[in-house]
Amino acid sequence: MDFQPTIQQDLLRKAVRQFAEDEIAPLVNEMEINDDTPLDLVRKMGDQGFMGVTIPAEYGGTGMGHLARMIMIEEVGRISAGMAMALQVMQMGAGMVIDSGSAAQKAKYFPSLAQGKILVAPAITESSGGSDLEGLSTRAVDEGEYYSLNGRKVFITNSHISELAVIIAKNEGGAKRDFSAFLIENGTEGFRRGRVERKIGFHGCITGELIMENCRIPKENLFGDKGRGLAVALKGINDYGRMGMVGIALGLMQASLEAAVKFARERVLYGKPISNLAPIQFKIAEIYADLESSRLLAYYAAWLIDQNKKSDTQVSSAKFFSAEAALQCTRKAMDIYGAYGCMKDYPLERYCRDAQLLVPADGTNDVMRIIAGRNLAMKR
Amino acid sequence: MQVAVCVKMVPAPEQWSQIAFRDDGSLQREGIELIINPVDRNALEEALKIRQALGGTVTVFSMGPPSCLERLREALAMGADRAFLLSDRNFAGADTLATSKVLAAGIRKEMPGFDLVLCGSASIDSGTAQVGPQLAAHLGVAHLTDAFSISVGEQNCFQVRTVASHGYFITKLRKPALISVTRQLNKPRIPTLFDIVASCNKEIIILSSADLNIPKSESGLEGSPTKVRELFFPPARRLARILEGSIEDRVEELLRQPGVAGVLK
Amino acid sequence: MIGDMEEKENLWVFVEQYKGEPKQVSLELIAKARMLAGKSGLRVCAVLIGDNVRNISPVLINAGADTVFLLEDPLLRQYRSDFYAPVILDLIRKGKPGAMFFGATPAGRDLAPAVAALAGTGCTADCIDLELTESGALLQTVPAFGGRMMAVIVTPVQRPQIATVRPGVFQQAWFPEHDGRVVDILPQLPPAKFDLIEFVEESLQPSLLPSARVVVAGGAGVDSREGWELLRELTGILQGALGGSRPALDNGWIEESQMIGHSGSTIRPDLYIAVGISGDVLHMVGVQDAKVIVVVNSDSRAPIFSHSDYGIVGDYREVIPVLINALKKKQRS
Repeated sequence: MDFQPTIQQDLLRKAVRQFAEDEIAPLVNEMEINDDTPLDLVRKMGDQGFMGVTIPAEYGGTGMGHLARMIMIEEVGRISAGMAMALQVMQMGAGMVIDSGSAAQKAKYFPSLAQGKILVAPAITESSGGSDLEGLSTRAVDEGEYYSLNGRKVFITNSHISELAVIIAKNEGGAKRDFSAFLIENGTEGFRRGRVERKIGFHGCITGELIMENCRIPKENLFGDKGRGLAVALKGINDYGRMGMVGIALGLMQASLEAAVKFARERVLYGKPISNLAPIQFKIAEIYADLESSRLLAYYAAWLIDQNKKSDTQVSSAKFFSAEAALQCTRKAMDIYGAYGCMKDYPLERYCRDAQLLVPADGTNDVMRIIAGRNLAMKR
Repeated sequence: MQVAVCVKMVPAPEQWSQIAFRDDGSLQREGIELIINPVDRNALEEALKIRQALGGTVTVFSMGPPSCLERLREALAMGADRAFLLSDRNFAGADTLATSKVLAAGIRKEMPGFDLVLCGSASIDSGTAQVGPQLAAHLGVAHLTDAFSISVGEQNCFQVRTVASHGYFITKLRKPALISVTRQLNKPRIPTLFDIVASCNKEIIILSSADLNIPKSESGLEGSPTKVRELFFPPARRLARILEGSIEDRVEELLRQPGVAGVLK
Repeated sequence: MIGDMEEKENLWVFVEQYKGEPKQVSLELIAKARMLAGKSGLRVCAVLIGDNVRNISPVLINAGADTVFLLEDPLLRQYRSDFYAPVILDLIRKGKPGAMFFGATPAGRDLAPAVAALAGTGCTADCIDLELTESGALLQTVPAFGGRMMAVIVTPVQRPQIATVRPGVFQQAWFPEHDGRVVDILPQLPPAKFDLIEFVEESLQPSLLPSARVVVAGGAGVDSREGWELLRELTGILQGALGGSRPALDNGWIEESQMIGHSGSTIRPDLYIAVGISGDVLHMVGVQDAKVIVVVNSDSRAPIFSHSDYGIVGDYREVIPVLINALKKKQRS
């Protein structure tokens, strides 16, 4: 077993860290206030190749893989969880087209997708929830020449800045688990964007509704085989969505650790820096332990995905473990800051708000436990 | 246009406080992360821009221990075509003159037809700003230092603006030549993911003193006219009296001190 | 021509001039060389290069030079490495000085290392102290690793021992009775290596720092507009000058002319108040001659507490307003 990062991973981390510090950090305040995605920044990330990290070279990406992607999201999340969220979903969209799209669809949308010139918003969740896929109510009717879709997708990341959406819909008249996925281009008749949500955190990352009203979708826009909608969705959620949340959790914990250490060394109480105090040292040690154990599990899960091995137990474990660790770590760092931690001048309160969003996104932590627990306890 | 860029690997400034003395008086700097000297990245960026405009190649030269190899990969990721690490036990302990001799030997051997040598004006760890002019002297070419603008004019001439005491010079420089550059010159690029992948297929060649045909007496410690006679942590010149009490008390007490009160009269 | 000086390893100073005036740093170096020469019998020689600069010679002699080597040519009006370096090399070969000092100005930092390389000798940059042993060895103290460390550099074998020194490190002196002579030397110019197209003059804001009795300065710890407003208010009440450390300049809070320390201004105020400055040696070399140094810093481990007289450990945003109020009250009474 080798814990030494490869030269490529090392260069990647440095480059993304520098990009995040130079290009993203100056925009964080504005993103916090306006809650808009800076599209110039998205374009720059595209030029840097961020959206194509898992996309094979022949489609305009670099094919560096999921471990590399984890490192990237971690580094972006260290500066801005909101931007990391937007990015991870952009990567997920492009990744789903590679994994499940037809040859014609790939030819049509790549390399633009890998370069971030067009964005795909994966749209699964409805107001009834996203994990109980069988409860989804969006319906697709095969009209012979085209499909007609009706329904409303909610909490869709990048909903209002994406040119494409992958919609999961139940096949009208089909069996209980008979779903299909569809690729919808913005501007398609009967397809529109709905409300924009206001979230506790992840500011700078747009979350909103996508609405289908007798939306006419050409036959060639069926995404993956007919009836394979759930498989398409689950692969995207497992390999990209949940792993993306893990990456953001790592970024938040890393940021919390750095902030906590810096403040503890600077803040003087009774004539000495509070880093001399055991209770402060305990908190810092706990943050470190949470961060590094989350990181090891995260990298292992990412490695499994890169090896094409079954990974859902590890991915769901990493997701709930790191999300909860991030909640604790951001909170402990904020505690170390005392009253300063509660002030908007310091990023600690932002870290805490962002960490809360890790819990429901891409399957709540309880659902993660169900998946991992069921795999471990029941399957052989 | 054949451009050589000289870069130096320096200890990351955030870790300077961890540099300590060993018992024998030498510096303990193992485990300290190395980075490319920041302004050397500006030199590399300028070389890449020149290549973009005129074609040609960009070759990076660096003198240092084998641990610099990885960081040189970063220069390749930024877009350099080739990189040479000039590394040999004999090179250790070099001052600027011995360093510039080795760099000159590397450039003469691998890039005899160079048009331009670019380097950062000064390193952050020693900051002497001497290697550039000295390298030019060894190569026998003209040099300009502290350039903040370089444009390529007709007939392969460079129009260069350099910092001076009361303003700046605009100079027409014919190739071959050496220019040392400032941070103001440009904004170094961040390697894209594509560049990073590509850099892993590029070769870094290590050149030893034998490859460069430099006798031991002319390189490293032996070949350095200057010697470090003593290295020390600066002594505490004055140890502040830390004032105690509430902020108001401390301020009042401060204002009562003779050296302070006298000035405020 | 200059043969009568060859038997001694004299001390030479490169004199930089601009518009018929010698640079202050050149005069400071002549004074230092005079001090180092002491009673050793070594001569202090000023190397004056330019066009129509003869009238500077008496100033150099009054500043402590025994001999002025005067090299004049219309082409030498402005500094340029391709002429100045070989001309000085030529002179060094003839006069064989023991040491030669250059001001660490843009020109000096360009010229000194080039001359050293051509002469095959050592060059030590940005010395903050120079000492001459009886045997003629020059002990050159320089900061290393951002000033966290100091090194003493020597050039044991090769001559001359070349050193550059930042402006303000040494103090100029005046020797009105001092006698010296001017030696004219006809410079042999090599072919030009580049064309100087234009020198664009930029008028610099003269810095108030060197002459101020009270200086207030901020560092990395003062990182908001409000913070700098506080310092500005304090400076106003004290009728002092406002400056800052390198990070303050890098972060855009102060102008280049306001930077204090190595590569910035060296100051000697009666009172220096450092706020949010950690105090690495690069900064401290610029203020070490302040009569009283007061520090306000929230980090009790900041090195600056070892280089100052009075310390208040605390958040400047709490301390400075109290100080401002106390001073206002004092002024009213």
